[in-house]
Amino acid sequence: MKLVVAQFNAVVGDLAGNTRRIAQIARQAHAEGAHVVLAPELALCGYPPEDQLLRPAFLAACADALAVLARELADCTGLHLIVGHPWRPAKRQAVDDDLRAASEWEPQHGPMAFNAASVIREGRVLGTYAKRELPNDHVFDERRHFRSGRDAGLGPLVLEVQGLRLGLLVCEDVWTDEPARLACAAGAQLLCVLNASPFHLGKAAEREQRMARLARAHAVPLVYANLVGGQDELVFDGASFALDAQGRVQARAGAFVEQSLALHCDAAGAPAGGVEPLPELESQA
Amino acid sequence: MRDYVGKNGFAGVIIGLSGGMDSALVLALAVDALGAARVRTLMMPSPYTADISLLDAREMAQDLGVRHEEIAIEPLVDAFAAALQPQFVGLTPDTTEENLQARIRGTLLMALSNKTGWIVLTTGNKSELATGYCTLYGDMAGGFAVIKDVYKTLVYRLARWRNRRAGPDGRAVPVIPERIITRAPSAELRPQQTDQDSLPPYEELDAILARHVEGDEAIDAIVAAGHERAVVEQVLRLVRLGEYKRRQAPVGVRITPRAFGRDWRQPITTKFRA
Repeated sequence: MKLVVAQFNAVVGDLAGNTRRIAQIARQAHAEGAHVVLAPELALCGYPPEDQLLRPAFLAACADALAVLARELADCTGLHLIVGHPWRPAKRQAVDDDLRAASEWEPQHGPMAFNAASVIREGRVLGTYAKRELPNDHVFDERRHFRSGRDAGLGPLVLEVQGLRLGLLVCEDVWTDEPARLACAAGAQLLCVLNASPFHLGKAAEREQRMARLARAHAVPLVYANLVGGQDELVFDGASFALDAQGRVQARAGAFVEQSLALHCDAAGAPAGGVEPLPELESQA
Repeated sequence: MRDYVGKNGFAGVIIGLSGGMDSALVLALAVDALGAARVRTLMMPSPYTADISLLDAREMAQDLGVRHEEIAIEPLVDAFAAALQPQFVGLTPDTTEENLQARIRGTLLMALSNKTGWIVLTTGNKSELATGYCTLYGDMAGGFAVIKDVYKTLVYRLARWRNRRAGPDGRAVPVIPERIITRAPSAELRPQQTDQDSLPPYEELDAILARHVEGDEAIDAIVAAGHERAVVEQVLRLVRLGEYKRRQAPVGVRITPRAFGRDWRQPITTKFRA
């Protein structure tokens, strides 16, 4: 199975531009034989959109952009695009019971959307996963802006591609144990993690260490897709990577650059690809 | 205001008076909250300052019994203009020259604050802060923005309300001269300027702002509520462009369901338009 991590510089609020960019990367990856393209957390709208997430018009525009993206890639036969986006379930959306229950309970005040990851194939949204663990510390404000998939009673999302079962997770999900445990219990053989993980000195190494522990704890390989680029006071440093089930780095994209990181995964999900070095401290700074 | 000044250990407050509505209301508030002895005012007239602005500010400060001083900024404006002349040669005067006046005033107020340890109260209202009708490091320079969450229409209402009532000291006379309330609002940064050269009428502006800022309504919803599309688009554009200024504005009192403070966390960098 061939998977491409779309490490790119999303622009907050530029739904049309981000959609175009993701479609372009996905189309290129498909032409090169990719079965899966993994875009980062909230790649569709950029991260963090902050209080724009409280505006119904913004959430509606995100839904439209997702539909445009699906249509745009409808002719890419066999391609699965996994993309992060805000998701406010429509009232009459044809969904399974769990999702219907979640959509019918919408608070009058506070957040309306999930921090979600959808799988798109041949013009259709196959499924949507809602982030369970919402960080509210440091620079994060996600309890203000999002509903948690866990609180809404939603479950893991596992998807089979080329005989390999992929489990979707979003950022903070993998800094705790439960979401990965649920995904593995649901049969995931490779964890696909969408991230918008901001930079600080030494952060890339910190991420790899934490993810290595997670991979070993569940004996599962893991792909970590991160955004790259500056947004107000935050910098996203990319340095997306893939680990085997022993937690060893098997592929890494460059830091502070856009890059499509191509991975070949064997039948057990073990990834392999190019390994860029992590920049030394002075170079990071 | 009393708590912010008191709890942070400031002996008093400094207000830049313009002779206009906003600084007059802030002065009235400051004297009510702190007493005249802890308030001083500074008027910094330019050639664009109307005589009645000077007179009204003087009258109000005297009536309230606060220490009031005047520093004419024309020599400073001239000095800046001369220093910048080689860079500005061939360029037509624009808001740069207007903002310079505001920044000279901000510098003088901050110098006085620095020397005395008294805090500068800025006098910008919510309508201005929302639309960016204010100057960074100019009238936005200071320590506490007392009326940053008060729309201009409410500023007028509060002024009239205050004039109808006796103050804490029992003084029943109107503290804000009537002419300050009734004359057309102007930044007085160029000849014959009024706020409505740049902004829609305040009744209309504030209604649009309340829908967008507090109600999270986008253009279509505000138009559906009866506002002209071109005006709504202009206002929302100004709100968006003003974000970088608001992020650098002093803190102030929150009185609406959503002030430009902890409850307004918009990105500066965004391409989203609605």
